[in-house]
Amino acid sequence: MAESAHQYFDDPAVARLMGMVVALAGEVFVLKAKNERLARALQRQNVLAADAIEDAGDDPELVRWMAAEKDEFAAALLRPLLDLDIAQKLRDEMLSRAPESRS
Amino acid sequence: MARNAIAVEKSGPRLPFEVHAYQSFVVGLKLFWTRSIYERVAREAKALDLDDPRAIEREMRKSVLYQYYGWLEHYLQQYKFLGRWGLMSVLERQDERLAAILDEYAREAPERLRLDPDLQLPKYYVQGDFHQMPGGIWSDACDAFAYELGSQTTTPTHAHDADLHTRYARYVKALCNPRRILDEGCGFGKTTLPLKKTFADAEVVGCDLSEPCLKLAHARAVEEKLPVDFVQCPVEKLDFADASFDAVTGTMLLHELPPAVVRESLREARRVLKPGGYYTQLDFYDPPGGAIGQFIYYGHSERNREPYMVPLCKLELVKELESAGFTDVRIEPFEETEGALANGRDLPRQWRFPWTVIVARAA
Repeated sequence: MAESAHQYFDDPAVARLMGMVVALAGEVFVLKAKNERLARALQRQNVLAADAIEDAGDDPELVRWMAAEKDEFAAALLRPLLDLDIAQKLRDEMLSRAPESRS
Repeated sequence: MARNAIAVEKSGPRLPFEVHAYQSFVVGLKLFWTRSIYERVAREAKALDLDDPRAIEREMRKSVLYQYYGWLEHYLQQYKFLGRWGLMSVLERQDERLAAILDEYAREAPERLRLDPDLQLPKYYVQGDFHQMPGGIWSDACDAFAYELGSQTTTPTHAHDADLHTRYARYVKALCNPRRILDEGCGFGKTTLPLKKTFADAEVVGCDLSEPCLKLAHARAVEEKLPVDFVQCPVEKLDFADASFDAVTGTMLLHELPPAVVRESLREARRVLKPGGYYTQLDFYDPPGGAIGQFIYYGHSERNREPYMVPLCKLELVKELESAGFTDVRIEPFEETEGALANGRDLPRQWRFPWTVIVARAA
């Protein structure tokens, strides 16, 4: 999300945290919806026994999916932390306050 | 009947299931904000017992609840468009296909779509992210489709707000029976098509600045077999002859214009109207609820990046219309959905735009 010039919280860290929380909640909701949809589809077709999911194991396709999905998920969750302008500003401030390196 | 948060037209973007689920989630957040969080913020603001919206704003910034209220109001709009399942994020990847769809429709009934490739888009239009849509709504095909889909959830308490535009068309019908109507700032045809359906015998023309939006409006009209003309031109320099319309309409246009452009647009509307013709706009003006209503609405304008909402409220529209050559000016609240005006001039029970209809007759 583009960061607003308006500061909503006394502590700007809270805004970043809110960004993470909402992104995470969004992913969880999508996942819940998909899970529900899948369960209903399988139930309707009577193709899934109660223990079938546990028994499915990790087939190569699932492993490939997991590898790609974890990157997408992590990026969506942590993107709000990547406000490069502010990070750069803080870094510059820190460097300007750093003591001269000892000889 | 249960339905997704956003409905997709036959020809248009392909939205994976995840986008529907995610948009539902955003709408859920927005609804909770519209009702519960707004209600508590309004109660806190009332308890301050202040009569200046700026003083209320200063005090409320100390409230933790108001801090979250402000953050959510600002970012929930962005969440619709951005993020992993945001409309722009998904539609940008389909831009080529969407452009091809619009071009295909543009080849059908091409005489009904008049674009101006030399038009210089005004600065006020291109300098900001319109409704926080990254890059505005004027450059790519995906902008128009994202705008169309996103507008379905702008006011989630009356979802699929086609009803709003139909209600406005009916309002115009009760007012007059025009033979030729100009719908200004028509976008993707959200009001233009209901106007054509309401005034089946009238010639209806929509004008706008955005080429992709006009192409989408044209596509929707072709799909619905509605003969409507769409023309690319600014409202402050209408590309139509003097005294060539019986009515000039518009929805949610004026608050997008700087005051000087509002004045020019009024003079232009008067020029193209026949004497006695009706000028009517549905927009946001004069928020109810006194200082608290102003505090809520003015805050929205800042948080949703709407720089001309407050200047419009401060314009003396009666005087402006009269000096542009109008008479019989009437400005009244508009009931966008059944019971929306139940609180009268008091603060609304849930967040809503101060919908107002502005009517005048060409002298």
